[in-house]
Amino acid sequence: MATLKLIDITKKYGNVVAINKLNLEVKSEELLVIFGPSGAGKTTLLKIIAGVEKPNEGQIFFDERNLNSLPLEQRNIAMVFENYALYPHFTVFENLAFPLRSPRQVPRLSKNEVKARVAKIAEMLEIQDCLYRKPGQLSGGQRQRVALGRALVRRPSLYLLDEPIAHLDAKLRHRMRGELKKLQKDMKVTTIYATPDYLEGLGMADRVVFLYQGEILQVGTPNEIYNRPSNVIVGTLVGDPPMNFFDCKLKQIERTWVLEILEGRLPLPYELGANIAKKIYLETAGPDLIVGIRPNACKVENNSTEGTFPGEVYVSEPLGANTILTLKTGDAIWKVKLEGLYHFQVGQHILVRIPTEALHFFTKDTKQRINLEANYERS
Amino acid sequence: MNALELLNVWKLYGEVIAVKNLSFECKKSEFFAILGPSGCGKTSTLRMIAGLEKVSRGKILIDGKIVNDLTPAQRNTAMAFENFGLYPHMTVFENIAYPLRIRNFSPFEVRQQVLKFAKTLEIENILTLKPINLSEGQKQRVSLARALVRNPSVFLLDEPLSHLEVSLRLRMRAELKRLLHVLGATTILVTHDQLEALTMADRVAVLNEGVLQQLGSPSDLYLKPANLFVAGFVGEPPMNFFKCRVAVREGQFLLFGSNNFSFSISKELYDWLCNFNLETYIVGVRPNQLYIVNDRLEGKFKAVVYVIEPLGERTLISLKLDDNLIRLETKPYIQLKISEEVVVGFDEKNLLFFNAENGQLLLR
Repeated sequence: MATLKLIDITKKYGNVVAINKLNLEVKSEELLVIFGPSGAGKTTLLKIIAGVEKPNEGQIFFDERNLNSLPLEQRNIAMVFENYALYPHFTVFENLAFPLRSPRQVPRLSKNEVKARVAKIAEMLEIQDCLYRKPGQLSGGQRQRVALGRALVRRPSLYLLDEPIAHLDAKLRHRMRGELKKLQKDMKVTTIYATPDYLEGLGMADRVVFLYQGEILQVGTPNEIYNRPSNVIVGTLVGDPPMNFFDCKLKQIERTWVLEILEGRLPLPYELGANIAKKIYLETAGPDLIVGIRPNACKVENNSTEGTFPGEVYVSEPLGANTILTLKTGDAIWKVKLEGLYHFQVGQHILVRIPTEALHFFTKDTKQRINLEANYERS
Repeated sequence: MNALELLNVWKLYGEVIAVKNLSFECKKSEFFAILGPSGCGKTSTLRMIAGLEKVSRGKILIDGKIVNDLTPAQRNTAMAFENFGLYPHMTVFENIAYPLRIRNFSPFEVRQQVLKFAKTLEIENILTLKPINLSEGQKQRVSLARALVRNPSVFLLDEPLSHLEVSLRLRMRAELKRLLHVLGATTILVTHDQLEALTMADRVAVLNEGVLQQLGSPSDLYLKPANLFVAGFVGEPPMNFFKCRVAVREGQFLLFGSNNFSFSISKELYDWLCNFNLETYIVGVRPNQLYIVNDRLEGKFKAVVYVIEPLGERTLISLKLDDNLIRLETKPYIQLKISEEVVVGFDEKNLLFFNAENGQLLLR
């Protein structure tokens, strides 16, 4: 089984720590997405795996074999970087065929086999019409696809793809995301894919590694990352619009646990309230916590009842199938995403229901998720 | 009176037609977007309005006056800069005051105007700071105040958010819309990003290859796209299209596709389509209007799962139908496997029909 193991990898550039004691195991045949904002260390991590950069500390194993001292050309890894380097004097066809004509390509491929493999990948990437042009005559998006094609035409033990479709226009990116995922599933080559786009992260991955400032904040399936963000940063960077966060207090009033939130009160089911109270009063010794709610979990209501909160429409954005409202309640600015197209006037006062079952809870000081007992967790 | 009017405007670069016979008007305080892919002529249009390019044919009117022969400075337009373009050595106050000072406003007027804008934009407490000490959001406010303090007739925005990181872009988009609304500025936004145009503008003009495709509200563009280009360009993920013909088989009214793909339709729809007397129709349906059904009788056609993409709040499923891929958007947690056969349903009210020859929407 081809698995990749990274053990305590640290990479520094001068005093700047790009990767900090990172541990990761990549399963055989999986598509693992490294997701994080720019500057998270994604490219550095891929370069370390590829052998382009040496880690200051730590070990890399591939198939139980230590890679640290293995030069990059012996690693049988195909990589695509965001800044595509194509051979400028070769046509697109020759660029794509180059890896197949390499002496390391075993078994040797006949001319017709090379042609067929190039044609297949060119068709998938929609560059079949520019096979006989040179890179200088291509648009940025086309060049990026040639670079991707040159990597995909080979069958290495591992693919490393660094934002390989970032420069394509939105429509094509949407399609390529699906095509790449399908291709990876068909070829069954272990793939590590770095991107700052959460749609690519969730849409393509078997598992997502959330990287932030050189450290892993969470590893999980797309559903785990979306439904149980391990802390406030993951909640902020996954989802469009991002999760709303409110500083609030949990108090017991008579026999009810109540969240003081948005200048109002939100009663919680007793068990849920008690469960959170136990955690925060024990761990942080106070009533403060951060509550998160996704904009699409909120509902606009006509009547004021328990669990509804007033908001003044600050901005209303129609989005085709949805409407995004930015609301102002006291000093808090928050967002609600509604299914369908609605027309709200700026300044209009509306009521929004915040369902308690859709709340996420985080500690105030460390901003980490408060893990509740299983029956309160989303799957 | 319209703040801006384009009358049969053309832009030619030698033989190349960049903008072809473009006319539109923009009311005072309106937020107007020009949307299209790269090379559609949107930037040429903006530059002609600003006076940075000569109009080849036609007229441009600002506040009712023809401006074709006026210099950029004489046109009373303001343009936003991508990186905000604030003077780093000046305080926020001085940055905002600058356009007034060079126009010889009295110190009293300058102070009054700057304070008025600072109040509206809620930046009164940062007037003594320098740009380096400001957040991105504050910089945007200061740059808006500086652009609008001299009361321009038209405010021009060229892809103002495209260089920002995703999460910041979303916040700034809402913020910018809010601020321009509060200021009541007449705004022309040029963008290739359909989301930006749809979310921000009151009305949108869609351009392709220099030709106006449709002019309408965001919901018009989404719900009633005038032709195949607009239908495919607006909305994400893009609309699905099938080529179909109408037929009657064994008393059933059918739409059938290029290969062995067909589905039944109501008699009303059949009769309506027959009125157009076309050989082929293009059917358009958005991914969120298709759904997977368990009961074969409720469904319309069968397809095979090609790839599944969970996107958090929804899941996108690509299906293989003959040689075509179609996309379907569902709630998350649907349990499907690649290569599994599924039955797809939809409400025929949600289908759009286009003339296969000229690509125009057939109006119901």
